[in-house]
Amino acid sequence: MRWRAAVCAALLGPAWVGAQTLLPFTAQERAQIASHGPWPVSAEADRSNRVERQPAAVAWGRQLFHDPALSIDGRVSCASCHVPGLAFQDGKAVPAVRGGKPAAARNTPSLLDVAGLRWLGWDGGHDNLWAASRAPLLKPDEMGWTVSALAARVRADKQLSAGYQRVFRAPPPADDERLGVDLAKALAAYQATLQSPRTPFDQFRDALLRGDTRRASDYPVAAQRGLKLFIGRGRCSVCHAGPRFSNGEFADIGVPFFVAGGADPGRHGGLQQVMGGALNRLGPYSDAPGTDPRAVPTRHLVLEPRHFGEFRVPGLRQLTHTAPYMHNGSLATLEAVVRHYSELNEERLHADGERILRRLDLTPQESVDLAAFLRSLSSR
Amino acid sequence: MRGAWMGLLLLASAVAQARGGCPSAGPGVQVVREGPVEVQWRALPALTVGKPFALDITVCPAAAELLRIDASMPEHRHGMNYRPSLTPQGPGHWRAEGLLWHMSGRWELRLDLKHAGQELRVRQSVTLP
Repeated sequence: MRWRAAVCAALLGPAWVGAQTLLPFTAQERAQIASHGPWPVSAEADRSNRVERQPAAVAWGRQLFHDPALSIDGRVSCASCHVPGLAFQDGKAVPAVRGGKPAAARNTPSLLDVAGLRWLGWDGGHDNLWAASRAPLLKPDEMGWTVSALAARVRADKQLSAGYQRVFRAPPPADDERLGVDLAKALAAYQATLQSPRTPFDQFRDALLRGDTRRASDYPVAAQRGLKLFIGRGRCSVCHAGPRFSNGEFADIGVPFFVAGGADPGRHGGLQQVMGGALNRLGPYSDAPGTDPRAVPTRHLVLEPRHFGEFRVPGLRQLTHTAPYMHNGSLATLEAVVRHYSELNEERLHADGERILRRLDLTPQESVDLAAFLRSLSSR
Repeated sequence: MRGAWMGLLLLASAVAQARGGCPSAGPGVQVVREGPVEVQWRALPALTVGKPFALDITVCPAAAELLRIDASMPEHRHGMNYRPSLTPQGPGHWRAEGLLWHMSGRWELRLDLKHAGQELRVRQSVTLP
């Protein structure tokens, strides 16, 4: 049998084990593959939220997250749109919360792995999880509160008031804004615990790096070919970098940003929001000192016209559980995403110099391979 | 005895800097020269796509003033999404904060300096894998 394996390996080129195959990966490819792990990453504690790592805050945040009483009419909870069974998103192109009407022109993002994100939301309008958690509470087409009405509700509701006191070891404060922010900090404490599990890609990466050919060969060969495309000719990893498969920044990938009544400014609007808001890491509601390293990016932001129509580069983990895709949910399947890049309309992209994104013109087999790789970034 | 050696080393470093030369660069330190000016810099933490970093910068001669620092991807004609700040750390020493290179590929680091009444620009090409 051994000689047969050797003959097969000689004929096929790649390492060949049993019925499985390990393609040859160059040192450069191995280094790139290594950069997409290890997983999970441990996000460092967010010092801007003093209760983030407190079990009582996590427990109360979880309870609040699932409680419809957190909306002004008692009809929706955070979990209505961030459904735990759907990787904490809603499976819809855009959410329809109120009377079946779209509540927003943007796809509901998954909350898995939100701890440690530099910018939150498709436009990065928040630089911390508690400010991002507070925003839907105050949107008329989401939870529907005003700052004062929310604070009054917490003070008047015995359970909410007791929950606050348990976590913050003080009665709800008289400052309405601070009370709402604290509530959002408890919600954030819970969401910071939502971490995606390891995936077939992670098993492959780790096996490849430790030289475990047999285990690495368990990874489907189509996914291996797709991985080579992802880090090679496809240049996907230029932006989908690191263990999260995102550089955490923003890009225009040719998805239209026109919406009913105008255009979605994307990052351009998000920058104005985060730079001008009191709820960023530099503002009075952060519990961290101004010297907190995580506040450094906020302090150095610049607003430029090129940011118009850019949206956050999403992480790619748990992709099979988070369809539909893109900031407007316009692509229903992973195959459609691959086709988008394969048939990219380059004229639509911002580019003064060499294009970062190019039409990939994938063969049918390459499209299948790239989709197989993307699928391997999800747990089964 | 060890203290005396350290003192001598620091003295030699100060003399070298005052005469226009920088002390020898240690591991991980990049060196770039433009005319009479030498710049040494080190990224903290090490450069990684999508991760914020700071630069510890030494300028020689120490009388040269570091005015601005910026970086861009010349082939793509875009810069960073951030405007870095500079803080003096003593004669000839600066710390730049607020840098983040969000894509792999070739970046050009630019440092604008003033030396002997003249402004000059130091450039260094860095490829981020």
